[in-house]
Amino acid sequence: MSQFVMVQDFVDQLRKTRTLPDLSNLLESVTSELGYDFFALVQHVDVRKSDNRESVWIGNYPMAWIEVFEERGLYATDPIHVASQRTNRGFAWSELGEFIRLNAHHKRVLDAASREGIGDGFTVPAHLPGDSNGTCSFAMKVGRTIPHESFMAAQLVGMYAMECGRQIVRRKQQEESDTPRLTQRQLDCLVHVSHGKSDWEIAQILGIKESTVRDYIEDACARYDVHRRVQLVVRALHDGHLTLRDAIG
Amino acid sequence: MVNAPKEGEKAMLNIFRLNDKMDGDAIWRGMFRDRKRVFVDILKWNVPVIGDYEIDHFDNEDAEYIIISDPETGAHWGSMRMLRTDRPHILDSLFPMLCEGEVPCGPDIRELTRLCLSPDLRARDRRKVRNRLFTSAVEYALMTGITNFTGVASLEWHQQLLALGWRAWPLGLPQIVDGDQLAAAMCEIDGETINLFRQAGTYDSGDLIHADTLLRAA
Repeated sequence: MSQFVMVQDFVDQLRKTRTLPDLSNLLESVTSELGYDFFALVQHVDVRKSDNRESVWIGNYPMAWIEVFEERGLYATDPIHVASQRTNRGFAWSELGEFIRLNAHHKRVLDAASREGIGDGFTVPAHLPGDSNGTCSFAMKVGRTIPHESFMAAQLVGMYAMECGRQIVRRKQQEESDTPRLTQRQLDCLVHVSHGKSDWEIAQILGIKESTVRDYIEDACARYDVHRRVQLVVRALHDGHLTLRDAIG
Repeated sequence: MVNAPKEGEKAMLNIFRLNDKMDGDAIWRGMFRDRKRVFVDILKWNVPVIGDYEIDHFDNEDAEYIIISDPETGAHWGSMRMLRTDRPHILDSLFPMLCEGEVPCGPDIRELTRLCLSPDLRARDRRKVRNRLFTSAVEYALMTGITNFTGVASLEWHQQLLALGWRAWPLGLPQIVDGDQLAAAMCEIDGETINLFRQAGTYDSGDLIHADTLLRAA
């Protein structure tokens, strides 16, 4: 199969890809078809736009490497990450010196990766100014030669995969913001409602006034725009505020 | 410095054919002048220049333009050129090697070229003008029955083009041309596209005034 046909198939399948695990499986397949051993898709959302820094990470690097990377906080000195900020073009890791001055810290990260079995690699920056920085990397097991002839195809794969990942994350955030939020106290009451307790009983259990219990439950109903407690419990179960375990006990 | 349109404020958005009021029209000259500033002075493209203007042989009576200009001064903020693909255009004439198969062409397919944002725009206004341009292109396509856009762009631009939200796909593997990595892509315009732009946060609609209407109003 020609490389372009592989890319076309990949892009076609991306249309139907709605979850990060599905995206990961798809990337794993095309990575292997293009001749690479590992892939990693990383996206960091602009901190200024959101309160918490969200990152999306999918890939198949050896678990041992991921653990080392996280435990030692290597992200900050990862030369791949640093170099990816300096360019919009795909680059081979062997070219790192052209983008950054490789210091001892950088070399330590590369050595650590090598010890865990990751050899030569290629990274596709996939930044969106004002929105998020991202990279898609393809790497080889130590000792295996990287297929230079797949670089162009890999760049397309990386860019389209990044856009798909962004859309998945965005859709999830949209769904989460559409879901009504419940306060802890409302949830506490709701658990007991799902056990069939009356307002008086709930008030005894929680040590608050019966009228307060009624207020909490009415507020929760208002957030969901429903009038009956049964509807509230069902919706809260659906949205994951309550688990079946909470409700059934 | 120019100010980009504020929320709700209308920028002048025009779709022109080249044979309408070319000479002496500040909007036209602004576009061709900014095209030279961007593509020749800044990006160092090897394209023909006539005085202060960047004009090539594809700027003919078949070309259509989307131009966004300052409603008060007529200053050029951004523009894009649409070429018919059933006539010679950029992809088939200059970069056919960027297409793996046949170069897509037909009466309902246009090529988007010369996306030009005024160098005078502030960074945050660039994105807004760019979104306006592409939204207008989509709306114009929906109004006139255009089903697809094709285009050639430097690989560095592709992520932003994909992030507009429309359904797009590559036409071939990227290639190095004159030291730049270029790739050709195609996108589809249909009933879903405006929603896709909305979801991507890139939908920005403004007045679409066809040149004929302007001439009659003048």
